[in-house]
Amino acid sequence: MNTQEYNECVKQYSDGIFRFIVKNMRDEFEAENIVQNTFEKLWVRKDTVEMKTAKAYLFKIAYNNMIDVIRKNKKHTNLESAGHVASESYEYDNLIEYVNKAVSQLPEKQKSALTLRDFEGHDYRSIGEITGMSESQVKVNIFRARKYIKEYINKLEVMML
Amino acid sequence: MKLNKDNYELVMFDLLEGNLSERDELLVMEQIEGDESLFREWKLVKSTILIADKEVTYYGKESLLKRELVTVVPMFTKWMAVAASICILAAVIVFWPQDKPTEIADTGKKIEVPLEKVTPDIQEPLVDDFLVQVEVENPQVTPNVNKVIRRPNVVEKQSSIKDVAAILAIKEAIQNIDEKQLSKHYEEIQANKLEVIANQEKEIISEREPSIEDNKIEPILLDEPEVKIVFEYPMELNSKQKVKLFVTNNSPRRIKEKAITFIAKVSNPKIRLKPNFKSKRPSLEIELETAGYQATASIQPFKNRNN
Repeated sequence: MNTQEYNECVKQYSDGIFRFIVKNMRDEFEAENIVQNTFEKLWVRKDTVEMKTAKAYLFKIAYNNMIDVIRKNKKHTNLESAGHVASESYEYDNLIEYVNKAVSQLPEKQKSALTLRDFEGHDYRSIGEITGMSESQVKVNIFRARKYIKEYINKLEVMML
Repeated sequence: MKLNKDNYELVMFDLLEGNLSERDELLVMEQIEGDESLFREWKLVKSTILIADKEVTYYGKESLLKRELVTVVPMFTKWMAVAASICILAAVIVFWPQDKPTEIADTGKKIEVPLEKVTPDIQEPLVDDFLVQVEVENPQVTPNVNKVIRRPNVVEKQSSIKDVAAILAIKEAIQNIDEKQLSKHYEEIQANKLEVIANQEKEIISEREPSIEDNKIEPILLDEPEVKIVFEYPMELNSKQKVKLFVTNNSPRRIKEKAITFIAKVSNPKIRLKPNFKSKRPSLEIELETAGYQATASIQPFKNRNN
């Protein structure tokens, strides 16, 4: 990969990576750091990375970086999120906000697989390469994530009725 | 494919993910649209699709872009390199050594300087040079010099360095000249001269009837080296005294005629040569012995008249 191709990757994938991180972490500041670190690593290894595999490579680096950050802040995040679900649920007045709230409560693997699938359109194999799972595991995780979101939305609708 | 309570979630998931064929999709959709509860469930399943917020973008994109490091090569550098190459090539062609006479064109006149190899050919043996260049003349006998060794003639070469080598060779050769061989050579020359003289005298005697009283007989002129011949004959006095008396009181012509008379009477002569070259004044004594007569001759070189 040359400099031109690297810059092309920045233009094409930086926004998607940023949204993917924000969706999973809900922290734009951390997302910006992760995106920056991701492209720095790509620049260092640009001679060994081909343009065809650059997208999966970038999302894999971003995902691993995100997992590291999440693990560091795991306790802090759990303490913040505890007990606020019920109260916050009333703040969302449309379906998208309900879904986002449900996604935020998904486990990391389900959340990552679902966001990679819906945001960037990755197939099961690609998601498996990024997250380190098999295609069947990816499919199961996505299925469980959708089922959780569906049930979450169904509960809110019931409560609103 | 028919939906039921056990598989509707999984079938709807496959329908949402696009894992069903077109035919199955149509069949499933017909069943969903035909059942209100299924249609409501299908709406919930479709709501699980996450829609990316396009407004969420990464603002630090420009900071990630890298500038290409382009090495600016000035265009004149290429032409300078080409020009330098041409100059070097021309210089090589002009100054390349050639086996031609050197031409100097500055003065307007072309002066041709023939190339000459200055390096002396010292690999050739010096003995061969000596054999080619040195000529040793026969030694000549002069009256006051016992033996004369003339320096060998040297055929000088034009090359000065060659001459040096030749001169050295000549000096070495002169030092190696065998004096014994020269002495022997000298003896042979003297012997040959005496033989020639004897033959001439014999011819004269044979052509003309010798007569002691004949005054018309011309004396034989001998070339150098001149030979003194002293004849001895038996007399009452001492033979040497008689000879001295005869030689002293008679003219050479008379002495010669007398000698010829005696020689004519000689039969079965015995000639004995006694060379004496080692003394300061070399000489050659010849003794002739015959019946009733004995003759002794001593030959000594005279000074060269030209000198």
